[in-house]
Amino acid sequence: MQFVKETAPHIKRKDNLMWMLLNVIIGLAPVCIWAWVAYPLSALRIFPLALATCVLCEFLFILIVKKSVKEFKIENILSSIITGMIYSLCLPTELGFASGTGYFVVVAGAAIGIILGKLVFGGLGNNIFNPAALGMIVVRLFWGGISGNAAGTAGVIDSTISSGATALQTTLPVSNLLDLLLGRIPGALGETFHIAIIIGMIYLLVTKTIDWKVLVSYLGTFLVLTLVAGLVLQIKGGDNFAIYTAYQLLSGGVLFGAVYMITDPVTGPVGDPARVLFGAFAGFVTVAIRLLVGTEGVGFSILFANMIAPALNYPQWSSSKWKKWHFITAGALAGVALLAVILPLALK
Amino acid sequence: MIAKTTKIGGVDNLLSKRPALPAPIPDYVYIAVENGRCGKADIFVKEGDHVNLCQVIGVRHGPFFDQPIHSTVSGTMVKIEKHYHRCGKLVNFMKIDNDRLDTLDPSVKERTPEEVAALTKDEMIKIIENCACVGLGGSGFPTHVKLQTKEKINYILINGIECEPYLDTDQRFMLDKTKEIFGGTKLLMQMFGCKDARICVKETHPEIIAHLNEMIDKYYPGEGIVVSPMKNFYPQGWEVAMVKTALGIKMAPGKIPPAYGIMNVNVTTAASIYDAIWYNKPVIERYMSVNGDGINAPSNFIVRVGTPVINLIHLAGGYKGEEKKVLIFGGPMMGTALPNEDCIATKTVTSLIVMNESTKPEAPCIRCGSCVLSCPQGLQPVLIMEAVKSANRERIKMLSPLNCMECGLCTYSCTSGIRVTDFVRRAKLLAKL
Repeated sequence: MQFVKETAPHIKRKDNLMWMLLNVIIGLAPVCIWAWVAYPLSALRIFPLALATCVLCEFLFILIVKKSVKEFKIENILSSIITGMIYSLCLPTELGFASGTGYFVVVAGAAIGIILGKLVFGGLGNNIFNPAALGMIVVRLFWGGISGNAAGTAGVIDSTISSGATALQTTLPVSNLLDLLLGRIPGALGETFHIAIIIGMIYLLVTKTIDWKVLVSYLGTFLVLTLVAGLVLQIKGGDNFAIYTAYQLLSGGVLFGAVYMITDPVTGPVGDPARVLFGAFAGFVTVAIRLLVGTEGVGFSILFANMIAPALNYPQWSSSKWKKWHFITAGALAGVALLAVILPLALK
Repeated sequence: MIAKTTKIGGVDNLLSKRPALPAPIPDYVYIAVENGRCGKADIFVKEGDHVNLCQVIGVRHGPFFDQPIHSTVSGTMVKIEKHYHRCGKLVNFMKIDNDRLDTLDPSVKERTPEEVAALTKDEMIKIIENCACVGLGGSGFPTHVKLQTKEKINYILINGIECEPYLDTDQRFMLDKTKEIFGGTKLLMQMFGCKDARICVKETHPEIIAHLNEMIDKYYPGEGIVVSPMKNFYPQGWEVAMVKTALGIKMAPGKIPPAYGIMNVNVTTAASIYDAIWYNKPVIERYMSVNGDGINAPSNFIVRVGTPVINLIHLAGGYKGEEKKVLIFGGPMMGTALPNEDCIATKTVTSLIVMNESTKPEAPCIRCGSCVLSCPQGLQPVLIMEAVKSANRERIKMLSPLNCMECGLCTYSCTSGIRVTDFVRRAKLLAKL
């Protein structure tokens, strides 16, 4: 009989990383199915290219850095597939495939996203930025002009939001709310059909694949700030604040980003207080960009929040229990956020 | 999975439902010369000398205490051999040929109730020191040092919790040795002049709680001994968690229970105090669980101290399956893994756990934070690990790893199967520099 000399403890929990990553893929499945059913032509062009690019980049990275094919494990494949899937679902349905540039845009965005967002930091588990969010932002910034939607005029930025509520629009067509919920609008591949996203969210929460604290603090902050903004606008003669808030929530990629991107544990901090502050900060940035800049802010807010995550993890500040300074910071953040939302709207 | 671990799942432990089996006393017993706490020792007997049961055959020298070594059989001293001790080191053992007569040493004599009632605290501590009572829950800390506290003790807590999976010795011990446990508790109350003693038992063992309550009603009514039901989570048996559940007192990190007027001992230790003071008898046998998913017939055994582990493995039906095995003295969360079967059950060995090697692969950390959620001390193991990897001592110190008591929950709950506890152990060494 052979014996193993190891350090305590000698038993481990039954779950493992492979299952956690598989759960994310299962959680993404409803949105993917919707994308393939609703936009089969776009999905057929975007998905294979994005997934292949991500997996290939990860494989080459392992080959170059670890110098061994054996190091390319199932976790690497799954995590790069997740990146590719989320990235694909963030892309607009029409990217100028007719002229051929669209294919290049998909590959370039995926490659830049996974290389600069993840691999340069050391691969799985070491990245600072969400690779999918970075890829999506790169496409929007560099190729926002060429990638029009079906109408041929609106850029990517507009295609996710112009169909819904533009941030400072004060009167909104009521009949559109249901269309927004059911995704009967042009937009990104996976961001429009909110029923599918909610199904995925429930699955991820039940299997404890994502931390509910980040999700709740992000969505909570977003809702509170848009409610306040809606109230200010209503006082100034705009539409009903509840409808305004619903529009803000259902337009663009708020729900998709909240469920699949901001909750990525690698690019977030650890510990309950830090996670709540992290989500709240991202929610504030989303609202601020939407209201003050007037464009979709989800992708940028995720990257900004990713940047402050290492600071929240700084040993002197981080804590697993709520401390006084957490409340002070949260209060200060709330004050700044409310001022930043109310003042420009009130003065306008 | 991002989740806090409170229960160690997947283990149905029913050993305490069956009687403990007396393990045959072996032909040769092995008595440790040194141990984990005492590096030096003097031996009073030569090869070929006859020794009696409970005779003092040597003395161990610890850092701040001396500890007599007792023989656990009568017979002939053969020689000194090297075997593995429960601390994981290869140490010297005295091999004693058992003559199977169990000739008692004259030092073992019963005290009358009047004599016991007249004993002062210092006299009792002296007797306990001479009988080499130590923390039998596995710590091995000398009981007489613990009892010498100058603080005013208001509460006695008797720890029968055993929160680790696969361990079930104390549960059976409480059913079998109730008289000794209550006797030891009474002596501790007499020693400190305190009127409040609580026996802490997990609420998942209603049969033990009922049995103890019945005994209190019958023999010790109105004497201040109560049974205190404990919650079913890991690490409830840790003294800080036990004090919080039993008395509602929240202990600060780094403080010991006597600072709060609390004296806590294990049930087995309480019974050994009873034996020491009433009969002047050291610990010669103890209850041991032989359990785990790598053994055929798990059971509780009454084991003579000094029995080789291989005997117990044969008694429990041998190894199950062909996988590589992990042999553990103590629980699977905090116990020591031994390099091979050539080890001896000493008196602080609570159990022998035979586990099949874990097949969970080690993957990169994804900072899911399960270790942070699970840590009962509120530490942040993942950040400690990152600080250790970057060898940043300032950062390590800021994360106060010295508060860690190595319960092992961070490794247990790690989604990626990383041995986080090892990094925290290294951080403790680095923080002390």
